[in-house]
Amino acid sequence: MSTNYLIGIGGTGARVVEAVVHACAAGLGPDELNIFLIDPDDSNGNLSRTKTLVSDYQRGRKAFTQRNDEDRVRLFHTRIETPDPFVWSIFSARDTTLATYVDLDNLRERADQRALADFISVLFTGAELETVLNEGFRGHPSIGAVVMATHDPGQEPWKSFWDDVKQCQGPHEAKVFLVGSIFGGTGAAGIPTFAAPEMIKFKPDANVGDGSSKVLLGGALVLPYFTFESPETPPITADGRQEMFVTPADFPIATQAALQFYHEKKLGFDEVYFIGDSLAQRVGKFSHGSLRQDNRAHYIELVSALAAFDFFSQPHDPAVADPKYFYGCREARVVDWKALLTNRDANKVAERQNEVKLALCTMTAFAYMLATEGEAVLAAPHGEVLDAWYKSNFRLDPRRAEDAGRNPREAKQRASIEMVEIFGRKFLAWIASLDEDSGEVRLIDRHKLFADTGEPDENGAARLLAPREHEAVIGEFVKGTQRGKRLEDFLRILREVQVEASSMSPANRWINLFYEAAREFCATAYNIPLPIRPR
Amino acid sequence: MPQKLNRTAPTNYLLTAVAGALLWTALAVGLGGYLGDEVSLQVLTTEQFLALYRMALGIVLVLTLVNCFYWYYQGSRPKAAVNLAGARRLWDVSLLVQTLLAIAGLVVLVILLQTEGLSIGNFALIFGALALLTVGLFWIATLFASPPAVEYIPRGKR
Repeated sequence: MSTNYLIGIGGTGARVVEAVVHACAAGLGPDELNIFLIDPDDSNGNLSRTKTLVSDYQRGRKAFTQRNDEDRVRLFHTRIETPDPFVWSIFSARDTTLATYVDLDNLRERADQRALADFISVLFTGAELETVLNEGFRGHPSIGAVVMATHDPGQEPWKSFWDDVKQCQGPHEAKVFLVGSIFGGTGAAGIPTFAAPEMIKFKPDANVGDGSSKVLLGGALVLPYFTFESPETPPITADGRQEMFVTPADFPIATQAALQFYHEKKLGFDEVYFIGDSLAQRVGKFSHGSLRQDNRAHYIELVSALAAFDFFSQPHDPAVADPKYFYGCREARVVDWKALLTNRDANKVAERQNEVKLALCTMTAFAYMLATEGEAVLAAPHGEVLDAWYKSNFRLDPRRAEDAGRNPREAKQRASIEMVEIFGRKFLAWIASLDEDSGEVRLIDRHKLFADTGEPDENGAARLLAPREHEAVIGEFVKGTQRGKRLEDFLRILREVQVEASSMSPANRWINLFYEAAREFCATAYNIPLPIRPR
Repeated sequence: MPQKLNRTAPTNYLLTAVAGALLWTALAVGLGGYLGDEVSLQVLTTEQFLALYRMALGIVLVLTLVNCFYWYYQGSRPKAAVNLAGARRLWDVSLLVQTLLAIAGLVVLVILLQTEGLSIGNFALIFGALALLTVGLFWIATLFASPPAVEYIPRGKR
């Protein structure tokens, strides 16, 4: 089996990894996936969000150990492994500038290095040399390219990465996928740096011996796809200088330059996905980094995640072939489920689109019902619950001590359910934030899930609509669905679902019940064919 | 999960009607025969007394079946699963109505038979029969034949 590695570079890389983790929770990912991130701005809001999310995923997966049927219940299917630290933050010390990184003052003082120092001064402006890089490369990939090229393979997370690559025996056994934007700073610096043949693909540790590589290198080059509110006046540093920063107006020029550069420079990619969007949706306010850079999710990040899954799902082929380049276009301005690029094989696109829609809708319905209906039932004492689905699946007498282990309210069981619920709430916040007001992204309708008209956030502040008060929303959260199935239909399916394993813990039974019901409900409510998997 | 046959229409309606008919037969014929031998009547003949007794049982049976069927109808509506507290209220009210029906049946019989000199024991037996056909039948029937969504609403159902 191949070793799968996903490396997210920069803010966009972190956001794509966020989408990958959510899609893995929905069951779309490979069996196993190793992930790490590269970003000098380790306080970046997008990065922090992804770091927390991966931990929540791992906790949720650990809590949900027994599936009713692996083919049907693909919740948390992917085993996600992360090195420690999960983020390669590039610099060992804070407040590093390019000048301190290359030791420019020392170079200037040494007679034999003075020419090099002068050359550096020609290549980089004063602002580029002196700007503190705690918050990334500020849209200047030339800085990032210098510092990223000198990573230490003996330090984590690179150590785990190279240990895994070394364990591979044959050509292309390690599938490595780089993802990042090519129009910003960190991603634009990291993509060509790590895709350079000598960095990963043909590094001696990846060499098989016959000139081929253990690594099959893929990448998603994310082209401009969003915009943000730029400041009216350029930000000023404490000492009165104008800060380096990037605006959306810089994106097309940076992209053109990057693509030109990649075209001329022979990169080591075997497969490349070019992903972008012309809708230019706003994802938040300007921030050049730190916690303030916490942008709303965007459907392009989901598309990038699906590209990664397409790459990882290809059968192992040791043969060396010419690089493959993938791109696709929407037929209309509206982005609906049929506009999602899901598979390189044109004959399988429709089938995969259905799988994607079913998985994401199921996860949405599952997380929503678990956090609302499920939570309400768990909050009530056993004796007061009258729902047939509950009574028939959780037969117990709370007064009998020996029945405590069969009660989903028991502390350990409750904690397991809660871990899955916490992830589910984050999933809901994420998928709801793909929705935006222009109405051009027609996937999920966030107004059918959240009571707040504003942005839902992931810390629980956004209130979910109560299904008992809004009985139609469960059957209408896919955009464009009207007068669909209702809460009573979900409850009927929940009542009819069979969870067979009698040895299952109450928490696992609880999660399986909701997931199976959500899947069955979404297939009928949203008219999605259930996949037929060969047994 | 296949729906339990005894809880789906029309089986639950038919089963309840059959159970009611059997119970009526047992109480009207079996217990009625015993009462006919036991009571010492002043004005009515035994046949007239039994006809009155059986008619009373028949009327409360019909009303009980109407109540059961109304419960099945309400319980099988898709909305029922969403408002289980409302369903529980309906069931409680129905049980109360059944109790009042048994009492009303007894009161009517006491008035009609006040000149016949029936003992308290005789009236207790008659009330037992009325209670079985009203409260008893409704409770047992809804316990075993309520639609799946409201299966656990009848009190005593585990």
